[in-house]
Amino acid sequence: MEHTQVHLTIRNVSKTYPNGVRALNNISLDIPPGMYGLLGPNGAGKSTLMRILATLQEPDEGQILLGNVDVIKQKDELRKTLGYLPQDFGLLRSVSAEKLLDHFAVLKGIIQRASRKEVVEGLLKQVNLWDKRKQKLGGFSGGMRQRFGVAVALLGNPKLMIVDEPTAGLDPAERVRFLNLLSELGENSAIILSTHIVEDVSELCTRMAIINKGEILLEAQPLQAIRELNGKIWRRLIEKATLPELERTNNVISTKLLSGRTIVHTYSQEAPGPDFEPVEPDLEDVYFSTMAGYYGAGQASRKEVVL
Amino acid sequence: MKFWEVYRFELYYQLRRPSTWIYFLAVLGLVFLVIDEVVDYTRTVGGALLHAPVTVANITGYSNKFGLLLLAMLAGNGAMRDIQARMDPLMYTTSLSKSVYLGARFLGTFTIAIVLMLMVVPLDMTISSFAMNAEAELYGLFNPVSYINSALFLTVPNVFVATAVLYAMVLLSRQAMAAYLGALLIFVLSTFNMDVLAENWALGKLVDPTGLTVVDEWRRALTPNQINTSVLRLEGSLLANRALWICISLLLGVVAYSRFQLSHHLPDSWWKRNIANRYLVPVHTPTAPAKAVTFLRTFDYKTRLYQTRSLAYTFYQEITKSPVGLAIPAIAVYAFILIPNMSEGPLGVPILPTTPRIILFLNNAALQIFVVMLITLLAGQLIWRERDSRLHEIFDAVPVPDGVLLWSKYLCLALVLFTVQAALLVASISIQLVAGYYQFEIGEYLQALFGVQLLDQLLFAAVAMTIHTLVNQKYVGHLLVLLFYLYTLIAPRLGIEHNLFIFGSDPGLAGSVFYGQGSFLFPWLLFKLYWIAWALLFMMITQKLWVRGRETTIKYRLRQSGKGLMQSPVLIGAITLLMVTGTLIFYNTNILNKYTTAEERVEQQVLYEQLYGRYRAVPQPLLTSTRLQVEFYPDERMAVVQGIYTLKNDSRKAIDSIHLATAPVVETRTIKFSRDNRAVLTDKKLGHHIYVLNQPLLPGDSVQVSYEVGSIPEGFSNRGITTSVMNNGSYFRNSEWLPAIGYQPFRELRNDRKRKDYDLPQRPEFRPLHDAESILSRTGREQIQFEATIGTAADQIAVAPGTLTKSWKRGDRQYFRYVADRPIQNMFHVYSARYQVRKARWQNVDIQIFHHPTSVLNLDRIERGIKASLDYYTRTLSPYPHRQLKFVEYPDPGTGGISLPGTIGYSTNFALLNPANDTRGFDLLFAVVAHEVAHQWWGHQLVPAEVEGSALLTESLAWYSALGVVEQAQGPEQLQNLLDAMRHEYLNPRSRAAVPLLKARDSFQAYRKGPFAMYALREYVGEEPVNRALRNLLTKFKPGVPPFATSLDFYSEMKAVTPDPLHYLLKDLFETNTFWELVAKGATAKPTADGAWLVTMDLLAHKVQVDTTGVETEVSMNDLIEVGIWGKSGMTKPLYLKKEKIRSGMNRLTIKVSEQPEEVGIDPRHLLIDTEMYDNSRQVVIEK
Repeated sequence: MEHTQVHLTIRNVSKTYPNGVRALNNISLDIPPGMYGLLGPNGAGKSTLMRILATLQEPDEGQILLGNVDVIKQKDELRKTLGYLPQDFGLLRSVSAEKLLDHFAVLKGIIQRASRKEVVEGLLKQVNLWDKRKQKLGGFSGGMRQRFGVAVALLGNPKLMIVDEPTAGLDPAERVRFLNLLSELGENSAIILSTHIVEDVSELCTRMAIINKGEILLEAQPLQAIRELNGKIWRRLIEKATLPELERTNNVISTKLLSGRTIVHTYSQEAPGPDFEPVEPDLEDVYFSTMAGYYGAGQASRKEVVL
Repeated sequence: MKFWEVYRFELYYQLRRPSTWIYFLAVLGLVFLVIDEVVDYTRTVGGALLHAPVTVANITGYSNKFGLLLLAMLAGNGAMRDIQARMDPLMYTTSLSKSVYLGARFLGTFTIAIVLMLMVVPLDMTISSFAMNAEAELYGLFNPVSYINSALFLTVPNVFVATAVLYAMVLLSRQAMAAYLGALLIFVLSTFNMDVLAENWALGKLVDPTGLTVVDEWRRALTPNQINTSVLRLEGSLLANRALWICISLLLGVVAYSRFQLSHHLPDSWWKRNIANRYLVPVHTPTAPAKAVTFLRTFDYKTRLYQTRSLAYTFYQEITKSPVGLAIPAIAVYAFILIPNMSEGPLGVPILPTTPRIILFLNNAALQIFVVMLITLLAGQLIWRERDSRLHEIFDAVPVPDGVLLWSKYLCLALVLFTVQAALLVASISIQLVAGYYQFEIGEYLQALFGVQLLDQLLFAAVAMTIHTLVNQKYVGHLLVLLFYLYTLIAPRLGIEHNLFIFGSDPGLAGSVFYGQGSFLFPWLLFKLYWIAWALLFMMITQKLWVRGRETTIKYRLRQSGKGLMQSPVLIGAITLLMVTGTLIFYNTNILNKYTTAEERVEQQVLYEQLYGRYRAVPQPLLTSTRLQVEFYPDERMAVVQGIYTLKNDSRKAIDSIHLATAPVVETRTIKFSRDNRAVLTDKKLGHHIYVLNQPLLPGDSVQVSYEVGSIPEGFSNRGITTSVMNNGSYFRNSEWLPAIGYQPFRELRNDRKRKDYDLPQRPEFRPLHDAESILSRTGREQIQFEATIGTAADQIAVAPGTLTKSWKRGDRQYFRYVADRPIQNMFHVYSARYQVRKARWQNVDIQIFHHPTSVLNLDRIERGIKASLDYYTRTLSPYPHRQLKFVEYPDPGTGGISLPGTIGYSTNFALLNPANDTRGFDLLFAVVAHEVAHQWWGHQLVPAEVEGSALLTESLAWYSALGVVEQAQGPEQLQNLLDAMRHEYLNPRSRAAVPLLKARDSFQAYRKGPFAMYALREYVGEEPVNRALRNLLTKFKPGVPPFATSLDFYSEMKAVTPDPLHYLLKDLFETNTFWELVAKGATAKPTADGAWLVTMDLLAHKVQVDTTGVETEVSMNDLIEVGIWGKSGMTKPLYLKKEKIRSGMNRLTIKVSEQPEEVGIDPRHLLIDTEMYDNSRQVVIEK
């Protein structure tokens, strides 16, 4: 298997569940190799999209291509180059880490015992589980389980990695390790990282999309998006009781607590008032501005510019 | 409050689950089938009506057994739901206490279970009575007590016990599957307890957790006038059983309750954790840098094969290391216990555990149900493996085609089954080792276990995987798989008789040491190929409908499955195989052979009677001579018989037409008479032909008729191949093949209810004792001259009645000519096989034992039995009429023998009886040989009229005489041991209502009560007078000469030799159905001055006569009954044994004996019929 740089193209994908929930609404994305962040709140449709990309679900309509592989019609073909880390998964409780990883190595087509041994060893060391290789998976902590999942996803050097909410539940140190792991891989493959944690994207991704209620609100390069917001985000420290009043008069995009008082970020082309001070925007401000509808959403012309 | 909330939620949740209702409907359906069977039984056989307490109890029992399915599902879910849903941390951290949590859960499950289960029988009965309202008389009056008592004493305790046991097992194992295992255990304990315990009723009644064995005993002991009224009561064995099982379930419940903790579960035992912890010691290794290492990954067919193998092995390891893996040794241990008990011969005599015999029981349902259950559960577990551990999202995205996943799981199942079979092989050989049988026919085991059984299991496994994939709901899947298995068992009862429609079926692979299985192989193989094609088809469907990813609806999967289906070469291959084998089978079963359903066969019987029954009384000439030319062609499995009958008119009127009844299983052709005639009726289908003679046959005149009968095998029928002529071990009975004269009443439909359905008149099964026509009738009792020339393959020996006058070889065939030295009864076999012959001589009688070369275990015994018998019978009865006595082994599947004129046929299993391994000190084989030889007198010299009581003159007398041989040849002790074993039959529950012995009709009377009565008479009257009476009987009645003897003739001979004071006994034994109830109530002894002992005993006695409907009448007694006293010298040397006058009620006897007494007994040798034998004796209390 030779590694070539491939693009993932998603065109007009829609998915409606039998209970009427419209999870994806005519989504189109172009995903180049490298880390790609898919940011959105819970229930935005991220996991549905991820599962469709991971061949576990089918959209009602639309087309998805990885290079020239049709993700929907050539599932078996795609699976050969796919690494998938689901949001929620379990492991066989009574099997050791080494054994289960070996099991997956077979499933991923590595049938030489010697190479499998080498791969398993390499991956377990890579995800720092080598010491725990004999331990039953039933006794693994959340972080260990997550790292084990990455090891499984990494088996066979996938060209497309789907990583669904990987950092939820990891402690800060684990999270850093984990993100490092991912970033090292991003050089050869397309890695799609869905998350609701903005830092994950800002630290890793060269590209990102913000999704909510089944629609793409923004597709951008994080740094450029931040740059665009320069001078438009303002901050004010208030008492909590005055927040409703402030929300009526200003474009509040986010609130945060600090030592019992509330910090409010607003979006405004000009200074909204004397009590406000300008802030250097970060990706979080991009996210909240987009979610609040002041930036990106539905502005096709602007989107073209951003891209 | 919290209790009620948990309880209420349990009800709410369980009642809203579709599984609950699907299982409930399944139980309803199964019980409905049972009721349908019972209705059918009541309609055809009779017995209790549907609303009778005993019937309701019986049906309730079945509902309780089938209900175990529902209970297992409810208990598994109720006890494990939170853990399976991973809700346990939420539940356990509420303020619920363990007692409230488990108590309310259990009570909730129990409430649903009990409410649903109580509805089953009333609901089904109502539906059934509406569905069959035309036959309201079958139901009788609605009796609420029937339902209330069954509910209170059976359903309520059964549901409680089962729910508690299942809950306990689930909580202890933390596996919902354990509930199914528990249900299976209860089912097996209830259904097969008698097999496992070798018919020990006392223990069987206790061991059965459902109490149904008690109901069964009750049902069997009911007399006709109780059968619709006797009410189920909570007393005696039922009470004991209920109490025992409630205690057991409570005990289990307490253990489970105390072991269960509302806390995070640490799965392994402490030492395992310690070992695991060693790996937890942190070793500081620097994180390796992430690098893309490229390894060879391949996705060609080799990879697929490797993956399939590797996955299967992984799954297999997971299963064998999990608790489910324990099922494998458990099945083997169960087989080790079960098979020796099931394999016992008559009277519990051990049978040599040859490999074919063990294999026979390996196929038994009591064993196979475990394998079926294992397949059902494992198929579910394998299909749900990833989803149950929530690994499926990762697993489903791997680059492996569905086919590899499906086939690896199937292969894993195959590996497990292979292991089960290997464990059974070990169990089987262990059974043989323990029994001292050291011929290990590994080849036969391999063929049976890994060829035949494993194939059947694999076929079923394919269906199980298909069903689980199709329904995609684990518990509904389990249910449907089990229902499918049930279907394959009971399809014929549902009216589906053709094997083409019964999955996995085949026409049998019966074998014999004589002919092996070779001839059965082709039809068997054809059927199996047919089912393999189906299984492949199912697997293809499963593969196409494989559940993967999130899109699991059957609609979606069906839409996807259409893609590329028709291009699959496997599918096309499977369909082709299906068509080819199906056509071949159909050609054999329906075109080469005639396919008839059970219904059609009944209709033929009816038609035969309706069309030709009018000729029943038409005078027909008597068969006086049979000459046969038989040609066996063993290699072609073919035989041709040319016969010449001589028919003589021995009536006083001229006979102008002759009715010939031809046999249905052979082709009869070229029927020719020695006089001019014309055929006026030729009905080949029903086998009735009428020829009118141009010149009537005058009284005293004879006519000859010649015919040819051919048995030519044409492929196989739905019931398999015909086994009359085989490559080795061929035989036919005259009545099966050769034409008979006149209308044949035995072909008529016997079942009274069915007769009514077809508007046929009532047909009494037995003719009354005084029926003059029957007493004079020669039909079936004619004596014929017999000669036969038999040709067969050069290496075989042919056997027929008579003396072998000549044997010669012509070409590659061997010929034998037999001539009977005197007229014989018209019943005989003709055999041909590669026999070895054991020859002996007794006086001027040639003894020959024709046996299979390997059946040598009992040849000495048989020879000794024959000699001792001839010795005793010729001395006490009359001379033996023939110059030779032949014992011929033949491939009959039973364990018995048949006595034909001068020839006794015995089955291979009989030859395997192993009295040497019997510790009870008697030789059943010897006794049975004596019994069969005795039939040469009782049945062949005294040929009774065909009226009720005739079995007394054949079977009872043959046993009585055999007892004399045993005593003479082997001593009185062996005789007592044999009688003790025979008396065990009394322990089997049975109604006391019966006809007196003079009208004996069932086998219990013929084989047990009759011989006991004769033995009692002998002990009262003396051996010589009884034998004198028997001799008189033989002198007065000659074979073939009417009038024929009845039991009344026997009775008058007995009366003649019995002294008047004992006539009451004769009457009690034979003329009425009398029972003695004798109890030793108390016994004391004190020393006398002269060193002797004075024994005082209180003996309670009653005598009861029971009529055929069960009315019991106590009659006053003043009978001579044996009383005995024993001391230190044991049972063989009584201090005192004499007949004393005993009256009704309490009797006090005082007897002086010389030594210190230990035990006293009334009728200690059980000469009189007393169903409670164990209270006849009592220990003596010594007084100072």
